[in-house]
Order: sequence, then structure tokens, then C-alpha cells
Amino acid sequence: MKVTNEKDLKALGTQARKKMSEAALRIQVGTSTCGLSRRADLLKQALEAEVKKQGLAADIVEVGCNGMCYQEPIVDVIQKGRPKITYGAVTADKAAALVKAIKSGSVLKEHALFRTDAEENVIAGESIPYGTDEAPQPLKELPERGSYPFYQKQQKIALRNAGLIDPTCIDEYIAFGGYSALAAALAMPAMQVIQEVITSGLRGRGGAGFPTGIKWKTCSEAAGEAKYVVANGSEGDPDIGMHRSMMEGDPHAVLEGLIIAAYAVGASKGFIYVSTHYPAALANIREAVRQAYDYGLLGEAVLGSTFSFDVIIDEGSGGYVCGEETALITTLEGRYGEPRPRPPFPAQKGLWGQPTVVNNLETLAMVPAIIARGGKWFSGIGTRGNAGTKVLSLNGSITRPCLVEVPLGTTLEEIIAIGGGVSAGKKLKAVTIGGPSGSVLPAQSVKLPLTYDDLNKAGAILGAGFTVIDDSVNMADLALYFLNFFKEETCGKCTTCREGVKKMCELVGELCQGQGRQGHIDLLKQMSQPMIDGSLCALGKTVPVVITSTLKHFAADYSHYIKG
Amino acid sequence: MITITINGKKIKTEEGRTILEVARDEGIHIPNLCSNDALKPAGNCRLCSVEVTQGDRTTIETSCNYLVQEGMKVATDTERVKDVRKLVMELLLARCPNPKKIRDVAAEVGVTAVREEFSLENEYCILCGLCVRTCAEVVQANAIDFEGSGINKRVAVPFDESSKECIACGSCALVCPTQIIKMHNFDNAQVVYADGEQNLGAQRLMQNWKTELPIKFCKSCGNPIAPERQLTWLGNKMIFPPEMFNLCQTCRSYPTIDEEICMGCGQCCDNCPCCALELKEEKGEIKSFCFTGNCTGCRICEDICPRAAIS
Repeated sequence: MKVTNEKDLKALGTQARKKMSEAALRIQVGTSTCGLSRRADLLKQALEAEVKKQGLAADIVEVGCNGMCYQEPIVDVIQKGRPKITYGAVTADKAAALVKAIKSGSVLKEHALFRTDAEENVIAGESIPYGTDEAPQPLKELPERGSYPFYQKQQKIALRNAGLIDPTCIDEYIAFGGYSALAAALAMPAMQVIQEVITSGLRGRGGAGFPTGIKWKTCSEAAGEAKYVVANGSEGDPDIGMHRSMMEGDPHAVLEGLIIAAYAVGASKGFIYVSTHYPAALANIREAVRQAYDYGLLGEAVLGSTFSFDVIIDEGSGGYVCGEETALITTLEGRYGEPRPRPPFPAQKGLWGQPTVVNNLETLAMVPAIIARGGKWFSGIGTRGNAGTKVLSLNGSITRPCLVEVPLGTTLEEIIAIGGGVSAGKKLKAVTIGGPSGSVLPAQSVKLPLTYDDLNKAGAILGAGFTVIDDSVNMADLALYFLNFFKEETCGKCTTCREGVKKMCELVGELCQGQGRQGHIDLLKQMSQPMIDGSLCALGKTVPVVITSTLKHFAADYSHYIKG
Repeated sequence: MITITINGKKIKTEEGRTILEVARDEGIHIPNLCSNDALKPAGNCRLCSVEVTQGDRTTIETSCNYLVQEGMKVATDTERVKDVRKLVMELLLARCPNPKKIRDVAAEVGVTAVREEFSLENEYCILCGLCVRTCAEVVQANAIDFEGSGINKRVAVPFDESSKECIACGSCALVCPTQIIKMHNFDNAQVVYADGEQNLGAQRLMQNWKTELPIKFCKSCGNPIAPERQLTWLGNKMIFPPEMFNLCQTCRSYPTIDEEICMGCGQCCDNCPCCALELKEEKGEIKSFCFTGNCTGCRICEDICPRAAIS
């Protein structure tokens, strides 16, 4: 079925919304990779069997992760005319008790986390209330979502639909305003779309923080036979799963952002780069692309307009360096993933020498909201020059490892508080932001606001990984862990990076084994600046930062290993 | 024309050239290990790093692949640049302490010994990629490439098995700065089996790529020419008549130009694939001349001459 105009799209949305709200009972099970690792699949089977046994009619749907990975498996129960109840840590053996509680109209107290009175539709800027007429007393006693500590400081834009809709169902995405931003964009001249993104102040979420609108403008003004847009879904950092969760929970948001980007710069072909390490994400994004083709949102004459656009999904082997945009382009061309020198920038000469926009998935997922609500609205979130929200993958020594989305300008302290603070009995020692490439920030910098500028000043970058490190960790060991990671992940092109990482790894390794001398530390310091200068891409330029930042703030950890 | 400054010296040059090219024309030496005029620049060794100032931004860039731009200021000998070069050579010297070329270039940038905290390896390959790029860009055989990732990267043939792509031309061995790529010619190669031995005749062995190919002999004098596969490859790639590849360099016939008939039209010079013919003025007349050093004996000029002056 092809959707050829905005009216049909709206009708589809209304119909899908009606179907969702009129269901007598809808049970949502979080089956992202985090849920599956806690056997959400068994839970779903158990629920299905139990519902049948107890004679209830229910829609049991699989949804993405709502960010509370520490509470998996998560179940949302929506009964007609009542607020949504979210249950956490519901294992398969609790299925019977849960269904019993639903049947009797009460709440399974020991697992209930909070209730949601109204769902926020970010795209339309409205809240969609659930009925509250016949809510029983125990339900009213549950905290409302807005006052639940996990959600208090959060604002969801990129993750607006994750955990809310069935990611494999395009209708449910449309029900929450999906693709209406695309329709709005297609009604504008391309230049106006770019202007809107410039006004929003959106900056690349990959870490470098380059203004997205300016990148699009450069590409749209560059001359070329063809233009390309690329969604960078590479995620090579250890311990984070932001892109994975986004593609598993809401693949259409990324796809819609990509189509808008393509329209804005005049591209006819787009690529979505996904690592093969994420099979569930790959399956969902493939399905999303197939559905979008079915609905005429991709291919010839998108939404009945004169704009045509095709999307190809490229499976990468997930090398860390392939997150670097020029290396990503090289792999898309079918060659060994090595970065290229800039200039020329990819926006001028990228994929096969043609102007190419490479955007992070998170950046793209924000775009539909910007177009629908306007650049002004977006620039009002966060702080001046650092607009919008940022998705962070909280991990390390934290009580509640989770995926959060906070407005820029939130302090690191507040973010750690969302994750429930440092693990019990431990003291905060340091925080790393942006994975191995980010610098290590000491405990006293927790008052820093999370913005590109403040972090850059502190020598760090705004990446997706947010690792909390407690006082039981020796920072020299941490540096060695990161160096060992880089040893495998450097592409090996530049002598300074390849040989430098190897030698740094040996030096820190010897130190950590107690065979080091002061000379080792001096040599590490002396190597850093020439290594930064002599390496081509951000990987080689950030490796020494791990050493310099740990040496600067935690010199005692190194000298601890030096004998005598 | 644009103007750039190298080490305080104003230089007028054309757009589209690299800093390394411009500096070399000006007699400013920038050490390098992985650049070759016949190949596209790669920027692998990082030895040719220079300091580039554009506007208020000063960065370290590799001069081999950084294009000159109007108003750019380049410094080739600042402390920052020297530090990068020293680190590059010290790291390479730690990796490959033996090859003479590495020791020489290291000494050139002021590195004579590796600091004792660095461990020494016994490698010979510096991963400059000259062999890989020569095979891909000049020979176009694409027989070798980088393999592995991270610090285990190396140059290899696919699966480390003798490949059909290698034509044993030896170009990789020719460009290798550390001479670790070994090419051997055998007059009569023998394979020894448990129950006897087999003579393979004349063979060329590319030791690193495990390629061993029979050599073709000249039909006229009987001397060895080159591996048969290489000659077939060249025959398919080039416009030369196939029978040319049956003869060795000395036995191919070279053009003699009858000066009486030659009118100096220059058509032979324009069409010679090897630029072996040239017009020269002699005794007030313009005549074409052949330099046999460049000539491959392809006989294209013979067919092209409008007055049959070349035989």
C-alpha cells in the first residue's frame, strides 16, 4: 500500500492510535538485547500461555528498551481506561501472578515500578492521556512517571518511542507522529529544511560536535554527479549499546531522519552502516526499510512528491576505527577501513568522490523532532551553543546501569544520580565519557555540566559511553585496558599510532607488573605530543589523552607500581 | 598561480600540487619513506610531517598528501616537527633495528639509538605500503594487500597461499625500502621428493608471496626473458603485438630511420607508447631519432610512418 499524501498518512496514524487505545489489554514486553539477556523471550511465552489459560484477550507485543536496563525484563500493562503500569524484573515464573493481578484489576505490588497517566508525543508536542476513570487504589499509590527518580531529569527526543511502540510495526510509529516530519519537510524547499536544522543548533552526536546544519549546507552546495547520506551506526566502544538500543527500539526514527537529510542535501541514495555484532538491530532496521518501501516512503516519488530516495543497509564488521567518518566511507567503498586525510571533507568529496553527509544515528533520530517542532523549540533545550539532549549509556561502577537521555547542561553529578549513584560501598574516583577515546575526568569534576564546550575545556569529548570508576580501580590498570583495546582496533596505517600504541602498551604493561621505572613515565609523557601530532585520525590523536589525563590526575596510581 | 610560504620563503606555485612536491622543486629537503612519484601519496610513514599554518590554525600535516593552498605557511624544521620525525624514526628503529635504510634515515633526523625503555623487535617490514600500492596502481595485478588489523597488520597474499594474481614481476621487491621482499631466479630449480627429484627448469621465486613461476626463453637467442605469466599479463594489458613477447630485449628489432625519406612529420613520436622516438634538428632539417633504451621493439612506428621511412 502506497501512502501518497499527508492526509492518508494522518488517517493511518489515527487508525493505528485507535487500535492501540481500544485494545482491552495490551502487554508490552521489552525484548531488546538487554531484555533478552534476562530471558524476556521466556517471559513472553509464559505470558502468552498464562493469558490463554486464564481466559483473557490480550495483545502481547514486543517493544524496545525504555532505558531501565537494570530492571529487565520490563513489562508494561495497559488496560483500557487505566494508566499504564510498568513492572520491572518480571521473570517467567512471575507470569502467572502478573496475569492474575491483571485479571482481578489489581497491581502486582512487589514488581510495580510506576504508572504513566499520559504518554508524551514528542513530534506533535502533545500528551496522550490514558483513561483514569476506574483506576483501583493500589494503582493510584504508585508514583507517576514524571516523579519517578529515573525519569525526573530526563527528556526523551532521540529515544522518544523506544519502549513505547512495537519497533517492527510502522503503523505504531506513525501513530506517534512518525513520518509527519518527513511530510512537513517535503512541503518546504530543501534550503529551509537546512536552515531549520541550523537554527536548532544541533551538533553531531558522534563526539566531535560539528554543527549538523552547516555540514548539510556544505554538502548541498558542493558540486557532484550524485550525493549520498550515510547513517553511522558503528559502535565500537566496549560496554555501550546506544545505537543498538535505538535501532532495536525505534528504527523508523533513524530512517525518517535519514530521508529528511537526503531531501535537504539532494541525495538520491543513502546507506545505513550497522555492525554485524547487532543481529537484532539489523533485523529491525531491515524490516523498517522494507515497510518504508511498501508505504512509498522510500523509492520513487517519496510520499507522492518528486523526490526519490533509496536506502542500502551495509553490514560492517564493527571495527572501532570505522566510526570515524572517512574510514566508514572507505569501508562502504569495499576497501580496508582506513581513515583518509581531510580536506577534502566528506561533505565535499566523500563516498566515491561525491559529496557525502555522514551523521551519527542519534543525530538523525533528533531530526524529525526538529522539523516537526521547529528549530527554535530544539534550541531552547539544553544550554546556549549546546542545544538538545544526549543519550548516554551509563555503566561501570554504578548502581543502575541504564540508557538515559538528558538535556545538555545537566551536571555529571545529576547523571550519576539517575543511575542511582556509585555502587554500594564504593567511592567515586573518576568518570570517563566517550569510551576509550574520551579522557578520564577526576571525581572533583562531577560539577561539570554535560556540554561539548565544558567537556572540551576539561580535555574530554562528549561521547555516548559514561563509565563510572570507583576507588578500587588503579588508573594505570584502566589505561592498560584501554591501550590493549586500541592495540587491536588501530587500523595500523600511521606509524605513530600503530607503533606508538604498541610501545605505550608495553610500557604501561611493564609498569603494572612492577617492572617499571620513572623513565617509563617520562617516556610516556614525551611520546604523547608527537603521537597526537603525527597521527592522522582521531583514534591516534586520542590514545595519548588516556595516558596524559590519567598521569595528570592520578600520578599516584602510576608511582604506586614503581619499586623503591 | 598561488603563493605559499615555506620556511619563510615566498613561493609561487600551481594549485593541486602537494607540499612535498613544491618543497622538492625549491630544494627544500623533507625526509620521507613511503612516497614515490609513480604512486598516489598515502601518508603512511608520517615522516614527511610539516607544520602548516592557515589563518590562525596551526596543524601538523603530512606533506606528501596535503595540497598547497593560497596563503598557506609551511615550516619544515620546527621543534614540533622534529619531535614527530624523531618519534617516527625511533619507533621504526625499534621495530626494524637492522635494515640499513632505516638506520640511515633515523640518523638523518637525529636518532641513533632507541631509548632503553623501548623493546626491540626484529621486523624488516615498516608497512609503508609501497609494494601494495605499486602492485595495485602500477602493475595493476592487486596480488598483495594489507592483512590483519591493529598492531598485527602485515603485507600478504590472500590466505598466505601462492596466488594466481602474482605475476612475479618483482616490482614490489624493487620498491621495498628495507629490501625484505626477496626475488630469486633459478637456472634449474629442483624439487626433492622422497622417491627422487624433479627438475622444474628455469624458475623465478617470489619468496614472500610463495609464487614460483617458470621462465620463458627468447625464441631467437634462447636466453631467459621473464616469467611466462608476466609476459602473458603484459600482452593482455598492453597494445603491443603478442609476438613481441617471444623475444628478449636484445633480440627485438629496433627501428632504423631512413633519413632520406623521413620528412620529420612527428607522427611516429606522437604514437610511440614508450616515448622512444623524438624529433631532432640536424643540419637544418628536422628528423626523428630513436633511443633504443626506451624502445620495446613493438613496431607500432613502422605501421604508422606515412612514407615507410621506418623499418
